[in-house]
Amino acid sequence: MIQNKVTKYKFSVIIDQDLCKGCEICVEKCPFKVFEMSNIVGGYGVPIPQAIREDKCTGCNVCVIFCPEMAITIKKEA
Amino acid sequence: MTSLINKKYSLISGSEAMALGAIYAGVRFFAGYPITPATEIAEAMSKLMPIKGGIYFQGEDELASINAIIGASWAGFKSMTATSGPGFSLMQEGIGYAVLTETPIVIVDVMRGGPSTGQPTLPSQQDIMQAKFGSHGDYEVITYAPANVTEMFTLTVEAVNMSEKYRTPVIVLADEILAHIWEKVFLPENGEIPLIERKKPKEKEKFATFMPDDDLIPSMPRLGDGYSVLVEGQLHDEFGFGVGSNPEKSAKLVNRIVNKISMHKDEIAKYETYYMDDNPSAVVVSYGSVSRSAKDAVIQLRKEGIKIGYLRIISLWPFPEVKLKKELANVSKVFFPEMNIGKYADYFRVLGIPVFSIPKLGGVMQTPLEIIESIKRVGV
Amino acid sequence: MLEVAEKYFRKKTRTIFCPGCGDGQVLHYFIDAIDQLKSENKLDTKRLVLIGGIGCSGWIPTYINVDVMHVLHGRAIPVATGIKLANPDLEVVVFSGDGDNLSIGGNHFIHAARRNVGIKVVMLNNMLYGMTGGQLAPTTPHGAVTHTTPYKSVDTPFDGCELAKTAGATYVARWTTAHARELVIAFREMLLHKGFAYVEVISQCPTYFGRYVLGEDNPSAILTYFLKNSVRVDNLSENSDRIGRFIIGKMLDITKPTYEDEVWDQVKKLKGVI
Repeated sequence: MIQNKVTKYKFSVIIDQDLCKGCEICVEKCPFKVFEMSNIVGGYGVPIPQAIREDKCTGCNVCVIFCPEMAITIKKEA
Repeated sequence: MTSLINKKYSLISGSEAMALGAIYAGVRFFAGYPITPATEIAEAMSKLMPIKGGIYFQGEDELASINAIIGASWAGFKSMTATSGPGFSLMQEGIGYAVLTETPIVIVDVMRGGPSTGQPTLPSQQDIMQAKFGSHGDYEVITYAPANVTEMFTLTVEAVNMSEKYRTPVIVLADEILAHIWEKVFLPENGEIPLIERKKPKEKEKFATFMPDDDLIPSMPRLGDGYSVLVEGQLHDEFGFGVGSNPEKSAKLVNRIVNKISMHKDEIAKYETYYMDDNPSAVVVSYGSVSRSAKDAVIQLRKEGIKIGYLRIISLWPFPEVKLKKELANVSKVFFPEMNIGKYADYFRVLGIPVFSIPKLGGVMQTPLEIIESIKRVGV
Repeated sequence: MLEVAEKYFRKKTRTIFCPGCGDGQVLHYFIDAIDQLKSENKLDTKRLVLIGGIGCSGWIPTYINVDVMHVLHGRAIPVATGIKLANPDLEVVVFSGDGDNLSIGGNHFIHAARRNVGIKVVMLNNMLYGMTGGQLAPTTPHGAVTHTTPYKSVDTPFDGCELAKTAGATYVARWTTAHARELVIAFREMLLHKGFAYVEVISQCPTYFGRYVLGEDNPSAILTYFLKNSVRVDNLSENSDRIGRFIIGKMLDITKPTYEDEVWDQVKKLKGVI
């Protein structure tokens, strides 16, 4: 099943709270809707997103590639 | 002209002397743009630079020329450009950038009649204030005014040396007469005039592009040597990071840039005197080509028994106030012939001595007789 | 922070770009390109010199820990030319905006392309002057409302790529910030190219271009707009509709003798002749 193949690995999605400017590109571009805007205010002074559905992450890296602040890191865990 | 490189003395024009002086001083990058009456300097450099292993670059305009020599200077080359009034106006932004980023460059302005397109083929001394105040903002530059073909050579060498020593742009103000006049010049041997190189940085770790030493002059790295320099045109701290929104740090930088030169005013000051040994109370002060007539006027007046001295200013800026005050301590009258409306004479009044300006416009130098008549009208 | 960013940033800092600005993406893709080339031993970052003009895009090089010069408005290209001529071994890359490069710097742009000086020019095109608040630029679409064209612009815009091609550039490409992978490849090709290379990046300015010209301030939506409205140059035909679309792709990639090579050839022949 695709579900099992895709979620063979777990991914941790880390947003650097100091760098994020709350532009929401990651929220809208993630194919699996991992991110949602939260009430956490980052170092820039604006609300930043949270990876609330981290378990849905497949490591496609679209958010990493398109974040203008290079604030997102995705780590693959065994 | 290329055969002059190894000759001991020659009959050469001011433009050629300037080119030879630049090469003697180690200039290996010249960017120019054709403009009367500075074109001959560019042409001479275009012939000589490749032979000495240097580059002649003809920019698409003066803006390209001034910015190219700034780039070449950071890449490690001693660099120079030559222009006249209209081009000098265009280069002011670049000069300001070189001042703030402490880039050693030499700019030659062969002054011609202005303002605007003016009189391309006739001389003037109208740009002397522009050399000091031409760019926006507060700053200080070093400026020389040669008065003969030998000085077109030696002052160019001095200008390159001072630009390297103080990490600043240096301006040489010639005029059309000096660029085109031919005189016999004894060219110095290699090593006769010592050359100054820019301060080289010592260590790479924690290197700060603009960290000054006690003499307020930072060492200068070269692009491509691994120092990761950050050359910044905005007001910056020692690392090149912008501090424009911090009033104290901004003031600190501008103060240092100005003091770097004005602190060394007396070392930089250069002038020569004649007939001052018997403490005359009247002196004819001049600079540049006009001083040739002024000296003749003083010699003639002395023959008539009139006690009058002669002072020629060689370094126009920074204004050598302290040294001049001392030199002119017993003087109560200064006569100042200039090929402009009396600009430097105006500034000279800072010394507190009555100055009688002898201005002349139109593109012709004062004759000795004209200077003598002006002096006699006022009385010594 | 991303590992590759930590490797190349001067210090950990937030950039000055607005939230969602495409310049941050270009910074990322450029660092990716130089990191890749460095690990393949095709580029020595010690030889890299980045020149930034004035404008938002001019700040991109200042974050990178290599030799950087932040110069006057429109004068990045002559400074780069001076450096390249003085030391042809240096890899000189100019980061400029559409106003900086095509307006005040336009003359220098066409002459550097004409001479085929071996410098690389990355022009970030947001179709207006961003840093100063969204004014008309030589690339602003006809009829756009900007801070200095409140009654709609009557100016006709330039096509930077056509200009570069006609002037004599030897590598010309245009991509948008939505084409991330293509941009990294374009930067790689640009850095390895010998001669004048010009890469134009249509970059979203959500603060001004987005709000005033597009009527859309959501950066993600502007990226989608770029994707939907760009057409590859290879897919263009005689009858294709070009109006309102971005023509993207690699448009030119040829080799010609470079200016610095010819200048230094002459110097080598003449040096010490007398």
